[in-house]
Amino acid sequence: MKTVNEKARQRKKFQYYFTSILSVILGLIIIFPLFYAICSGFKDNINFDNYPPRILPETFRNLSNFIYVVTKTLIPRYMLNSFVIALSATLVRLIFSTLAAYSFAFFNFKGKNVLFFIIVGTMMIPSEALLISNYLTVSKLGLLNTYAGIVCVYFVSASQVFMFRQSFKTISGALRDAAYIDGCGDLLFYIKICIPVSRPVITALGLSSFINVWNTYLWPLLVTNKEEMRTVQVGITMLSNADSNAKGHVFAGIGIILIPMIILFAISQRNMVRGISSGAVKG
Amino acid sequence: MRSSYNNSVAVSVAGSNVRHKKKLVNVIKPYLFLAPITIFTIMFSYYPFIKTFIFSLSKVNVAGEITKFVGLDNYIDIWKRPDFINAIKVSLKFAAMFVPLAVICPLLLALIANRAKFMTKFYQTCFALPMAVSMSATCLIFKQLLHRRVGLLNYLLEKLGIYENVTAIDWLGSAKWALPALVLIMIWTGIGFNFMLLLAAVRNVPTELLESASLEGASYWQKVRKIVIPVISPTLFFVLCTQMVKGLTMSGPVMILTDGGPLGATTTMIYYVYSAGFKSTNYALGSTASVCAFLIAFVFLLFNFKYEKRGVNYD
Repeated sequence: MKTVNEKARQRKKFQYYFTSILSVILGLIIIFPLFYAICSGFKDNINFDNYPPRILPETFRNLSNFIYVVTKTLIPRYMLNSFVIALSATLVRLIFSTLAAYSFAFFNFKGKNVLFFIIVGTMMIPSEALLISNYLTVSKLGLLNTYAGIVCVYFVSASQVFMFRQSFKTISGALRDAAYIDGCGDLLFYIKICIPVSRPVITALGLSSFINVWNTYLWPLLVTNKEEMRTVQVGITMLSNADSNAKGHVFAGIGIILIPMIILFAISQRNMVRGISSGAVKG
Repeated sequence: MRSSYNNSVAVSVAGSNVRHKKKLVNVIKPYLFLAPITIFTIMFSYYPFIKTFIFSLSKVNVAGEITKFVGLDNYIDIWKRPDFINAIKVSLKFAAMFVPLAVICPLLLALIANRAKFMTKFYQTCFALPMAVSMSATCLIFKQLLHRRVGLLNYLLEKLGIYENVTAIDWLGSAKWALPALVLIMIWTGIGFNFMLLLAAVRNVPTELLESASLEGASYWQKVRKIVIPVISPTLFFVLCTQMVKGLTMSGPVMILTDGGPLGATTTMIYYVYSAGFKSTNYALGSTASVCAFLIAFVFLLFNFKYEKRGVNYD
């Protein structure tokens, strides 16, 4: 009896180490491209044509690529553009969807279900199918090459409305009625109670929305053709197309645009897990 | 239930004039809260959607103005175009390779991560990190890794002795391998999000179920097949649907890496829309192609939902 137990325990121990080590190895394989990209920022341009290829640079002290990217290319300007776009899109998105969610969570009114369906229905329309018409709308409004032209398509997020509605519904209706009788109007209730109470959801959705908008490529490419209005994602591919021999510069640029996102991600990961797992599936 | 105040509070307000005004405000208020999002939804989702559809039934000039209504002519024309038929085939081929891997890889990772108890934080961050990386950066990194002569992948394959008698594969430059290379890139970018979703679902599987199964001597894979998969099936279904749409509407890496080539081997449906609409400014053709792409993705989704009841367990 004892030996069977011992064996089982040993097997369990083995499994425990095996899966753990396997996970760590798989994790390393998955982040390898990022590790490679960051290391490559420190390599000289000629290094990329050598065979056999190397992973590590000769030295991590060689910052010339980074200095070149920051001083000689428009990457800093692109980063500013992307930052403005991602931030404004995220803020407007959050305001729009919390307002809408408030309405869906607390009011009864005619057409509530129809309006909810209309907004959530946008999830079924792939944004790629709308490219041409949206491009024509934006160009007709004279918004090509402007921040407004880039961000305007990002203002609606049906999934955010959905999740905020869920979150607001946890606030008791009695509390709201009491506040109302005490003379606290809806707007005040929305600002003073709903927003603070759903802060975790707001941070989670806000951060993931920031990362998403920062990372978009196709739409900003279509509505900008002026150099200084490009976003960082478009800019970095342009940099790589313009000079295919300057790979050190391209990788330094990639490193520069990746690092803020990775830091933001590391900060928000815990929050994001919760945001993702709370809303996306419970349909 | 919650907003019964609409009537009750208004009654308590003295004075019929004030009451009337209050009432009106209360009637409009929900719509005011909804106004901003509704305006933008209509302007940038429904209006363009309908416009695209109307474009597909018309002749459109370079300025984007409709010159003539032509009925279904555009649709009849587009099905006669071998390049569009090719684009549909490429998209279907891509989805066929991409979707199973895009579901299975993160699922396996989630199962492994759920078991391992050592350095949890480290590898979970590793698995999820691709989420934070943009498509364009990913593409540029993989462009170097997949380079025919100096790429690390070919170097590794050669060291493993796979290339002894054959020439090294030109991953992004050959008609045969460009699409699988794009599958690899798309799997990598999508793995983080799906991993997190599935891990959260796997964690929610009730432990009593698993324990009682172990007591009855069920093996690990039996437990996965009979307990874990059915319990997480709503999440799996969600991942399957989103990945299917993603696979069928893939276009980013094509634009950055292959421009639809070599020889149209990576011209997906949405890349076709882009090249017809923006490179040749043929808005009618582009719109027709995007309606077709939308319909094809939609049909696949409907097909999914049809089988949902049989395989997905919501209790």
